[in-house]
Amino acid sequence: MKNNLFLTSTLALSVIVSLTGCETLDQVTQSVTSVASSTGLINDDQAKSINKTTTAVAKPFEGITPSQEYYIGRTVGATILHKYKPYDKEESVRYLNTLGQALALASERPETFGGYHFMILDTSEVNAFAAPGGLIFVSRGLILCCKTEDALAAVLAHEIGHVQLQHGLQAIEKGRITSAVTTLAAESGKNLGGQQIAELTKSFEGAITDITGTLVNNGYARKLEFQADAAAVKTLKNIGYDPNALVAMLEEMDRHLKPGGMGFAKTHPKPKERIDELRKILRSADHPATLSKDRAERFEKFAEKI
Amino acid sequence: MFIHRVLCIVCVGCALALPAIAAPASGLSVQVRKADVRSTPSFLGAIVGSLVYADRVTQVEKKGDWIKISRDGTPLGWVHQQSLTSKQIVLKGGEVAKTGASSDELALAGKGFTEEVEKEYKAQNKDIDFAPIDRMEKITIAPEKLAKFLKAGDVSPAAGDTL
Repeated sequence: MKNNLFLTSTLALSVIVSLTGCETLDQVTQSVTSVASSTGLINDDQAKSINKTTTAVAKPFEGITPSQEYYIGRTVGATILHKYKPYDKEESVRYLNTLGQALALASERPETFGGYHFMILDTSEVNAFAAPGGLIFVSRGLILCCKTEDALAAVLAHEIGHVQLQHGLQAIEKGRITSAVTTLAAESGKNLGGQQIAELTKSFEGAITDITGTLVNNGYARKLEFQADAAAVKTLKNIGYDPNALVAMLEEMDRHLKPGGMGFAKTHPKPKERIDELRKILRSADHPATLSKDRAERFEKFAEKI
Repeated sequence: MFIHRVLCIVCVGCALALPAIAAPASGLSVQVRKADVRSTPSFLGAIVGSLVYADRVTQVEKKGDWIKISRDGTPLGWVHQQSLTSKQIVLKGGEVAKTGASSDELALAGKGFTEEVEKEYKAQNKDIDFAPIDRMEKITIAPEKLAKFLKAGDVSPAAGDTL
């Protein structure tokens, strides 16, 4: 009898889910399991199990806290630097960080656990990477595609968009984030044992491989790139840079990228496709470029040393 | 069979009604290492204070992405919602038992991927160098310098205000 009741409530849940769509799946499921549990249709453990499963379906990376995201990002960053050498010229690094950190403030995620930090990669390859948590890497090749500070701001705002929308974490394969990651030690707060650390390190290593594989080799899905572009437009408007500079930068990039080439050419949709998407949300009247002499001069000074 | 249908209807009814009943808890924790408290609900608002990881605050008001908070009854200012969580963050060795919160409501600082896991990863991957990342993280530009940079470049936010 109880099993029948449980099946009935599960059926009811399926109907609600199909009616409400994925975004509210977790919320609805929790409500239904709460009712089913309190009325004795299912026990607490069954309710928790259903909730956990649907949460995992809705957002596999949701259990990752900002502090865990920070540690993932640090290792992703260190792995990227295993492939690319940093360009350490202090003045240039400072300029990039001033521009980038100002932009991050105007984004929809102004603060992350460890904050936003920017680095130049010493390569002529046209490329950029955003590690989870706010470590952002831009190549000399990509900086040279930017003809104005507004264009460089657009590049950085796009990468901030990936951080803001947690696209890096979304690259982690399903099943990688096990209960070991999300609930281990939650009951006790005790120090973890050697075996638990080993298990976590294995999951960690897997997550790093998933993310760096996506960033360096496969690239994000088109949809995520367009989302990061839309987030960039919003950030640029908020702070007062010209969002149309993103189009100008993509046009310039299109001239530099060789079909079938490395870096951006391999991991990003064609600039033309991104421009077409951007045109749908941009208006020429949006923050037209300010003809600031100081802005132009400081960018020129920065670009000369790249 | 009839009772099944009734239960089904009750389930659906309650599920739809519950989100409205379950108002968000007003107690919040800071989930970033440092969160700026601002005088207005905007990144342009003057910084009037700062909070650190796991600090507990109370939500007083919400405007867009910003939450007005208070601590011990004293209003503090506005913090971006992304820097706060409704979970209680209990630091290692924290008083879990006294909080009375279930494990689902807790976000223990020492769980999952931590410094300890990074240490283990480093031991297994000695060719991965974290020194440049440590250097990179040290570069933080002071808010007044950011404001000066934007002003010097004539970058003015849509609101017409300054940082």
